[in-house]
Amino acid sequence: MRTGIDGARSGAPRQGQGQDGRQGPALDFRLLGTLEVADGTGTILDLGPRKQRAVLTLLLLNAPHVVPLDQLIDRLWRDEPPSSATGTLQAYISHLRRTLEPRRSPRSPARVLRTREPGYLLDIEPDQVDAERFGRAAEAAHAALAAGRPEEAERILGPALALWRGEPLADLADEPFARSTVARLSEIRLSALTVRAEAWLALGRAAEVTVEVERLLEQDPYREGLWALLMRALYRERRQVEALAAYQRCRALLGDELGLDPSPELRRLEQAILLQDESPAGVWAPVVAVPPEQGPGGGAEPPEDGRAYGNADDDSAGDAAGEGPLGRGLVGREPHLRRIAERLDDLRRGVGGVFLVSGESGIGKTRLAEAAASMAAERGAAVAWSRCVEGSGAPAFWPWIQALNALDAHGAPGTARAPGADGIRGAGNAPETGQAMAIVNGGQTGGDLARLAHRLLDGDRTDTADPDTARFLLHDSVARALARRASATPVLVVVEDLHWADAASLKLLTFLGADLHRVPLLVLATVRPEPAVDRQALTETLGELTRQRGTERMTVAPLTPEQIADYLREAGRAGLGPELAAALHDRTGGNPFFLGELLRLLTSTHPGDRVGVTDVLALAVPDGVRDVINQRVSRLPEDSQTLLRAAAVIGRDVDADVLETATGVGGARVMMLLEPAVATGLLLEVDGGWDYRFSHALVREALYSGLSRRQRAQLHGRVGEAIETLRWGEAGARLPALAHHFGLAARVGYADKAVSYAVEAAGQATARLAYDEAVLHWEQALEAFAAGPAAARCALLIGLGKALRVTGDVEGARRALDEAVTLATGVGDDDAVIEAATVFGGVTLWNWRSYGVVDRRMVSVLEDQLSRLGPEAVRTRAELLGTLGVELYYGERREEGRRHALEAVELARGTGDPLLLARTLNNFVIAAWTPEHEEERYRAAEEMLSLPGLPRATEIVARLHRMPKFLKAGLLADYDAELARCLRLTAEVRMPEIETQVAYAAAGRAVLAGDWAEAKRLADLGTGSYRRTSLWGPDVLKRIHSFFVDWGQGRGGEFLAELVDTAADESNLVARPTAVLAAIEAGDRDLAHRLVDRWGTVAPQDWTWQFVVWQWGLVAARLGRPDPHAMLAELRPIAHELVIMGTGCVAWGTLHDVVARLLHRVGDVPAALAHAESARDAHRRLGLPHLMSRSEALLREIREGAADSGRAGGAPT
Amino acid sequence: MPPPSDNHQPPYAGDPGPPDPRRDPARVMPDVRPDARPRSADDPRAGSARAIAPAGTLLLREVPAHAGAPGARVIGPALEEALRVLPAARCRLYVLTDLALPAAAAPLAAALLETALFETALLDTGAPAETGVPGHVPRWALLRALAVAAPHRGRGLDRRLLDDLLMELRADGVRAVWFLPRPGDEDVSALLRSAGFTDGTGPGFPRGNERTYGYHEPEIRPWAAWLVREL
Repeated sequence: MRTGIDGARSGAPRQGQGQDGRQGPALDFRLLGTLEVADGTGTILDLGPRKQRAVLTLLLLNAPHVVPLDQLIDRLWRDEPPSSATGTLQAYISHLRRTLEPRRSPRSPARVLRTREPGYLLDIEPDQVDAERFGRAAEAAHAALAAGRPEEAERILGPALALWRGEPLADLADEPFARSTVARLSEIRLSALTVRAEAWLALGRAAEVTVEVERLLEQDPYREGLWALLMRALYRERRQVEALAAYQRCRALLGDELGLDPSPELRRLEQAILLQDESPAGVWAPVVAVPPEQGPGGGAEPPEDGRAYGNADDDSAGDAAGEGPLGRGLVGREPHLRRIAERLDDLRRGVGGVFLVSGESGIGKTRLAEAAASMAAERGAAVAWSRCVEGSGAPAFWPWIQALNALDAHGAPGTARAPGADGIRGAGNAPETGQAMAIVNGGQTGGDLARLAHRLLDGDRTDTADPDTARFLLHDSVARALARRASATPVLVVVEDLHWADAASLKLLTFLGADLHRVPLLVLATVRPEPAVDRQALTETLGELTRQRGTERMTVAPLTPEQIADYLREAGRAGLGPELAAALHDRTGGNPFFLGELLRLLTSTHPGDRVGVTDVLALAVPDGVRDVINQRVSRLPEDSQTLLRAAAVIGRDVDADVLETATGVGGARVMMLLEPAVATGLLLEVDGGWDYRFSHALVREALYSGLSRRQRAQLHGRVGEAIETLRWGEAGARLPALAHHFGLAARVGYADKAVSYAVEAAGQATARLAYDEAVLHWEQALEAFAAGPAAARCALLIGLGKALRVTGDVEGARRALDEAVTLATGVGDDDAVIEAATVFGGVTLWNWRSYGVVDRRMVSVLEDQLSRLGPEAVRTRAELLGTLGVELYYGERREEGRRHALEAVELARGTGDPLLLARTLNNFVIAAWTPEHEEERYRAAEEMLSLPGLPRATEIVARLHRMPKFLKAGLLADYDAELARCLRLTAEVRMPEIETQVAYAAAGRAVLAGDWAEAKRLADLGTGSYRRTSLWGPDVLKRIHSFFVDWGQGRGGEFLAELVDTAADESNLVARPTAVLAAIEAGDRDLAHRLVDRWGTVAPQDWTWQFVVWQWGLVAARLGRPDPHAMLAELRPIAHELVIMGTGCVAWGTLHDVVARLLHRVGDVPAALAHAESARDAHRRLGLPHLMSRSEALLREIREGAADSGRAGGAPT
Repeated sequence: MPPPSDNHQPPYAGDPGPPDPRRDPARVMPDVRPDARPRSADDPRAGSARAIAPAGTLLLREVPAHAGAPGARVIGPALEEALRVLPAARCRLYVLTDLALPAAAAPLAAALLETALFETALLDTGAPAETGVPGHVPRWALLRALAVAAPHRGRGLDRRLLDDLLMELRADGVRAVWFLPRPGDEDVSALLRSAGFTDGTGPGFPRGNERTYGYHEPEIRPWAAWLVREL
């Protein structure tokens, strides 16, 4: 892995493929001799040092399956600490890759030796391994011989046997992991040689056979099959005496050395020779060892799908899937449960096996095992549960002792039927086993399971001297006892945490596994892909089991977002939407343990079900999860850890270029160092690129939170500089990233960059109308700038103030601008003061102060600036005067403010700048918002709309200012046209204040139309966006609106308490008459009087005047207070107007109505009738049915009242 | 041999340094850390002691070997000497940097290696390799210098650098690393011995390289007391 400091991209295309690998002739892997790999040209590759060859061999023996990284380490570097061992392994892997694929460019993906969680694999075809080819040839030859085609058998075996170059894996034969493979390959070879000899015999080449068999017997004298073959060959050669002598040699050998007699077959053969029997059944029956069912290397048949074995499919699959509730409460494990159900059903047919459930810690293996246990119990099977214990604290055979005791307690079968020939070892088809069986059959009668467990615990008391035999006897007793037990009731043995099992237990499992496919006993074992401790026995056992019939392995995978949603539903948190499930998936990577931990944390921090996406994102990494992740990280090489930490600073998605540039390490080395992280599942490779992604957000967060603040800051600085240097994408796209990284590095010397990028990013966000982001970037800039000079800080504060103003955060804006004014005043920067102070003089619909509030400080700042302004600064003067006009609106100096605003307009008109003019006109419209200046205001709004190049927001504001004129005059068609245009423009502007105001205008129109549902919807919409601002008013507006919507439907008492409460506040003066009305509607006239006593009946001469005076008029007509005559004096002149509150929110019918009521109250029936009729006519003309029926009711009331009083004798005056 | 030190506080910035479980190399012979395997590594619920010290941010980098290279000062005169007698292509300069220090900060430690001539790899079988195969493998490397900058000594950084280095060379296919101790190299020798280097009087360099040696650097003699480690 030779990379220079500048070894970043070499210009090779990302998807570039070397000319190596599959296109060229394939590599040839040879293990029938010393380990060799030949490339396509036949050249033998240099496989490097012994350890490196051992790594390759391990991968080869498991190809094409993944060998977990931790397994490799446990087998080859068990004495080394994991982190340095992982580094060494990675170095070898890298070099092997270069050897196997020399033409691959360093940054194209490896295609022979690949990384795949949880480790590495050799992606090769079985044909590329000599042992596989040999194994298949041996089988074919055997089949040909059995089919009576000896020539074919011989023809096949010739070249196959030529593949052998010596002892298998000669250079690694003493590695413990190679032993079983070596033994197996030797066995196959012997079997193949035997087949060839049989073929020769069939072809009449008996002489050659005798020579060959004698040679083989030299290597392995105890094979009776070979002796039989020798005898037959000699007999065929008519060397009868020698044949009988061979029998004697064999008998002596077995008798002297093993104390055994020749097998019955051999004895029968001897008899046949003695009797000169030439029948084929006697002498000619070939005795050929049965070749193994699977090829060498163990990879011929992937164990993933148990259906590959036996007849476990068809009949039971269908009904099992549809059967009953499969493991209630287990989400996302349906395939596993279905398969387990199938395997449990197989037990009824006498078919058992070993079922391995593998998956990372916390993935839910135990839950699955629990489900399997209850499913087994439902099926009437006996379940025995056992757990392996970590460390050496437990006795040998511990899981089996637990299982046997459990099964014993479960109730032994009533009559322990003698299994006879159906015993677990069956009728030994291999001669060796047959002998052993004979011994066992003699003495063992099979005690009960508890006694056996005791024997396992206590140690073995058999007298046999040979430990291997003793072990066999013990294993066999367990096997027989279990088989007997299972023959009564099917048995499920659950072994939890098999990765911690002791070697003796594992050996016993392997022994049992060999025959379980004929016994109704299923062993379900949970196992982690990465053994925690040095467990060679485990990997051997798993390999051995994999080759056995009836063993299958299922991996438990992380949950998908949909499954997490199901999980939440099952956990009784159904109310949490899919967004939350997605957020949880993102943070946990679907690991149920992480998920559970997070939910536990969420439950403790957010009791109840009100958990949102932001809560999930805001949670700190739970301690338990952090520990798990830290432990996984600590097993990586230290340089890999460093790189991962740098990657964590980059983010969840890691751009490899940025990582390389930030760390100064070349691309190939980055790949090498990160590879163990990919192999262990901490990182994922992004498809089709170099980039990486953290498998869970939690992984990144755990790594990041492990860094000190100084480390983070420096790393962010490096990452920022890397992004700056790389210049990928358009400049705009990386501004936020640059602002982010430099911002977090500001304290270690990157403050200037942090500020300038944040300012740029803020400008960009503003241009894109992303005001909230703009605020964020201004805040970033200010944060980074903490200690900078006042003048520059002032500019940032003004930027923030403006952005906050636009998002509607008036309070925040004022704080920022106040600070800016203070700072600028302190350094005598008038320009900055003016800029900050005039922000609130921008184009808005309303004065951005709370109702009735004057910011005296801002007023004095503005006046101070005006007093010192030179005569030439016309524009500035216009802005200051306009702003001052707006600021003075809520105070006693309102009229003075109006004049300032008027002057501002004149100055602006003189400059010829339409935007300045629009701004000052808008200032005037607000400053002059009193009943007596209404016409001037509408003219000003009109003038605004006539200006060229008006920004959309300004146009909307101008229209909204003008629209009440149309409504008051009953020009509803004009009003509706204007409103439609505003709604259209609003969608483009995306400012909360504009959205609010347009929604209110529409809401008021809906009230007028009596469309109550729509009115409520629009008001809710308006209130929603209004609440995003910090401006005065959303609550009071909502309550007034709600009252009138109710009132329009003949109710209204409902909101009494709320309204009284709200109106108590001086700034909510506008709601006081509403509250009194509500009291009257509720029938509490005493309260209404008390409220009038308390509050008075003021109607300020501001934007609320018409609306408030209308309401007091309604109150007066019912209550007699305020004085109805006084109200009539106010209302009669504007009786023709329709009612509107400010620029919308609530609109009502004509004021003729209230005037009629007041006149009726004061007893002027004819005038009252005239106004009531006018009201009815107006409402009829405008097409407002609900108001029309109201007017008609009023007319009837006045007429009836008049008739009554007429009868009573004259009207009161 | 430096005195064993328990002071793991780096002398800069007031920030605890990266956790370095290794003791002083002079004190530890085999590379075994009894505490390396957390006992409860597989119980996700087990609360193990969380590291209080911030995580490590040290990283090995290769830099071009020239007189003003980062790390040149740490290496000292050995760099100039090597550049005088060897083509730059055969010099490899590695530095141990801390990503949590400013980018311009001097490396914490550095090592200078000399690699063999690129062989057109003669393979074990003796058959000549296919010509034009890229990725020539230098079969051995010679450690010319290894040093830790003065302010960072006593934290076991020499061992960290050496381990990183050996991993790099191994990945590169280098089979053996040699070192010829000279007077004053006692510390490095002790470090190397603790990392599995042994006295190497066995097979030397391939003949071609040996000749190159004799020509360029007569004072290094193949029969001198070398330290060597197979990778």
